[in-house]
Amino acid sequence: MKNIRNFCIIAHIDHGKSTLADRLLEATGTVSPQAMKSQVLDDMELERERGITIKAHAITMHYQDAQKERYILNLIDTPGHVDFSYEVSRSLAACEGALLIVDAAQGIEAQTVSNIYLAMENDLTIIPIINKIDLPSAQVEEVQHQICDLLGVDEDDILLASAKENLGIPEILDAIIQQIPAPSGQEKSEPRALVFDSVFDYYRGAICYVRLVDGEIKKGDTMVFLSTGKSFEIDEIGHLRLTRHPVGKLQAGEVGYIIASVKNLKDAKVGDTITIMENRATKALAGFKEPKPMVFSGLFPTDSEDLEELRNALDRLQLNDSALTIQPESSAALGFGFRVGFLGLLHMEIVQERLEREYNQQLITTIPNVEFIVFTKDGERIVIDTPAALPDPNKLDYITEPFIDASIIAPKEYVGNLMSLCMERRGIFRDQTYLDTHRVNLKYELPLSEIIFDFYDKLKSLSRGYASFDYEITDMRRSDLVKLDLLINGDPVDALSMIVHRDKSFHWGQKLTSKLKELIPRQMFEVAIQAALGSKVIARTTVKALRKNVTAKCYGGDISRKRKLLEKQKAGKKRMKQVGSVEIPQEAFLAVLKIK
Amino acid sequence: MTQTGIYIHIPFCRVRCHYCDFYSHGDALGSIPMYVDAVCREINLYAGRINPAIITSIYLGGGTPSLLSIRQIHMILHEIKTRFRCEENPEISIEANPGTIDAEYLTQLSLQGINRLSLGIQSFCDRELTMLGRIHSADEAREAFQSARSAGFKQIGIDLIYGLPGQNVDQWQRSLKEAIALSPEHISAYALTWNDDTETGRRIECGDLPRPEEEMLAQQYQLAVTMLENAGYEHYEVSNFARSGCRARHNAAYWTGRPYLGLGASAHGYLPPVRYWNISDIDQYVHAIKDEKLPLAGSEELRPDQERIEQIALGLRTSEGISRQLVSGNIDQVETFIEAGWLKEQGTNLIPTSSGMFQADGMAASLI
Repeated sequence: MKNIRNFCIIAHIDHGKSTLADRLLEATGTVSPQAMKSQVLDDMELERERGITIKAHAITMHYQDAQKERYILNLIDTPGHVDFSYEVSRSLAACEGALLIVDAAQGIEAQTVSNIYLAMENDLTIIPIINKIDLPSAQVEEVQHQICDLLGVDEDDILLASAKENLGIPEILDAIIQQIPAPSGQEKSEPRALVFDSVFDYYRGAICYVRLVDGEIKKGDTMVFLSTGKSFEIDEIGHLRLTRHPVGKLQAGEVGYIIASVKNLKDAKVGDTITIMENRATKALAGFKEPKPMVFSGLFPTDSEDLEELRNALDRLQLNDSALTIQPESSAALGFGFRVGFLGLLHMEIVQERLEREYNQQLITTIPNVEFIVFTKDGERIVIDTPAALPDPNKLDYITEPFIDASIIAPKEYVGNLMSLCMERRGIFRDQTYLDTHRVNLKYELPLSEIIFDFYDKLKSLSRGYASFDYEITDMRRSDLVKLDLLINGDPVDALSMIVHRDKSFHWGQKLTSKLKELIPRQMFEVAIQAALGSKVIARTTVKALRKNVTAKCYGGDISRKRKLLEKQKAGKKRMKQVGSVEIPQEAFLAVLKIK
Repeated sequence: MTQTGIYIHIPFCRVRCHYCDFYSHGDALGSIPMYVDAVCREINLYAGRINPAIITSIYLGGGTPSLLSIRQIHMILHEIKTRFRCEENPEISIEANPGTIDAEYLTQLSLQGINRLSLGIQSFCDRELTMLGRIHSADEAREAFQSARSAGFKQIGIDLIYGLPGQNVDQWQRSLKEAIALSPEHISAYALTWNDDTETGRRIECGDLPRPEEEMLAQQYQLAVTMLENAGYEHYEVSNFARSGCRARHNAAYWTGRPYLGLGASAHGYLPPVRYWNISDIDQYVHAIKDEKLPLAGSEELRPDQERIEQIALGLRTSEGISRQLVSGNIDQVETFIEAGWLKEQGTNLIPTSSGMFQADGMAASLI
């Protein structure tokens, strides 16, 4: 155990985590440079395109230092986005140390800061590294100052590297061995393994990635998940090289995988503790939380005939993404579909994109919302994740909504812009600190519902891309929330309803009605578009009726042309959604998502 | 015996009008003899193929068929009468540009058995005629009309266009009044349709000419309907009005799904269930004929559901309407249209009102 080092890498997107991981794998001979598919740790197409790691993996490296001492280095990868902060925290909990990588040209970003705090909470030894020192725009000294301020270390403690140019890699390996403590579990006690990640394999079932904290686990043992008490016989146990490497047992301090015919990924929850039936530990490792979706959206097939296909695609996605929740939903306007819960915005985007790209689904998604808790006058407490479920306003006492602590780091010249953005989003100012002479860390409390819609894009555009943002959900607070309905010729369009703050309902009503006016083609009859709070109409636009809807001439060749046009319209109608007698193009439902 | 019409396209003009997007050449008058020869041969090619047919109408359209000499017209009509069985008194129509005809020519046309003259007058306002690129004046148009009467034509139709850039209701009313004063048997009133490839289209798109407003078109349409009905014309198709018994038989065949042969470059024909269209190029057309081949550019065989779509789309344009049975699956929509005053029930048929005809395409789209 004394020669094991378990560590992870904390870095902002594009600061060079993957490249550095590649260099470590090469330097330890885990992969030959030839066999190296660049950035082996990210293996989903989407991940590589977005430059983010969605699902954590781990890899074991063998290393011999100058004194010919052999070490086992376990690199545990961490997802890089705020939506996955719980997963990040579990990966960190499986480690004793962390490499903190900061881009020499970019400096520290908000997300990095929050991950550093997470690492500190987990008592990890942090090795700061400034990467990309070869860049002409590198500002090594400045970044050194930032790191010193943040971690309270000396400049000499900070390693300098360029993963791309293979600079500083031996020093990093030495630091890992010298500075990160060996694991300190109880080798002889009841086994306890932390599940820091799990993935689904179509042939093997759920595969648990674990850090064995105490004791040992062998192939053939019956393992038990402490959160549920469910037990499974272990078919295979092993270490993680580039591929799975079966061994007979895992011992305290080690990192590896367990396969036990777990049919459902939901049984292999990240953060859960695995023990052994015959030698059962009673106390679970600290920090386990059930995954909880925070953002909800309706997903509907563009063609109602594709409902089953969408169901299958979602089911398959869910196999590998236990954080996703899926409920059937029906909409008068959009037909049958699903209410899907996501960890956050990025998670939502990724799922939608994977459905479209990998599963070829054509989707209409509805305006996302958070989860609200409704208290009725009868003293009932109802949790709702869709505006449609909001009870009659007469029965309502009050509604609560989730709030977040947000941290925004940006160059000081953008602070004014960002403060007005936060104000506009009902933010409550908490704190403003200078990270160095020109970078400011803003702290705000914000309603989650205000950031799920176009907040991140605004943040970026108001700061020319420099601001970084991180958040943590804190509590539920009472707000003056109302349901804004959208009516077309008097018929409510359920898929366009939203729950908004009363002060913003007028603004949203106007935006929605004028956007729809642009998108609904003129029809034979006038179309009235109204936004209403209950029975009170607060905004209205009208799509005028077509006065002339006929071609003047219809002879010879005009006849075929007309028939073909009608056939095309008929086919196009399938893609229209009917509300009362009005046909609404699907684009309308998607375009309201882009309202600024 | 299948009652069949024949359409012959004459793709030649002295000058192309600014708004027209029909297939025609403004600078190929020298090709007319060769073309007429080819048309006669095309008649021959079909002679063996579509019998037994009885020809009930012949229509010379264009382009400007009145550019053909009497001898050339004779050749074509003679060929048809020799090769096909014709009804005793078939309707034989010719489109004529008032700028291309004189009393003598009109008398000769009448002697050839042509009994219906469609005069492309378009407007009785010289300024509008200039804008449209017409080669005649309003006076010449009136003169042509009187000459046609003198020549013995008992069936004269006048074409008018409304919805011209900058044209207001009063200006349109003046043209209508003048047309009514001449007392033709038939009046076609077309809303200007422009294509981006035409000069008028380009000028409207680039803002050089004011874009006709839909509201203005609706008012002008309504005015035409009211004035012409008051003057004793029946509104029997979106853009067509006729004195009782004077409807264009040939055109009506298009709207009721009867067969017609289309001859000449770019002509369309319908020999149920097949629709076909000829090559839109004079030289290639002539070439194909020389090789004894049908000069087809394409054809399609209509499925029953496509025939139904055409029946609905065309029927809703005419005062004949459609059989209720055709749209039995859309009762709710039908009711809406009846409530809006666009459709009337007449026995087992649904008949569009004048305001309904102006919405015919929209109704068709929701009823098919």
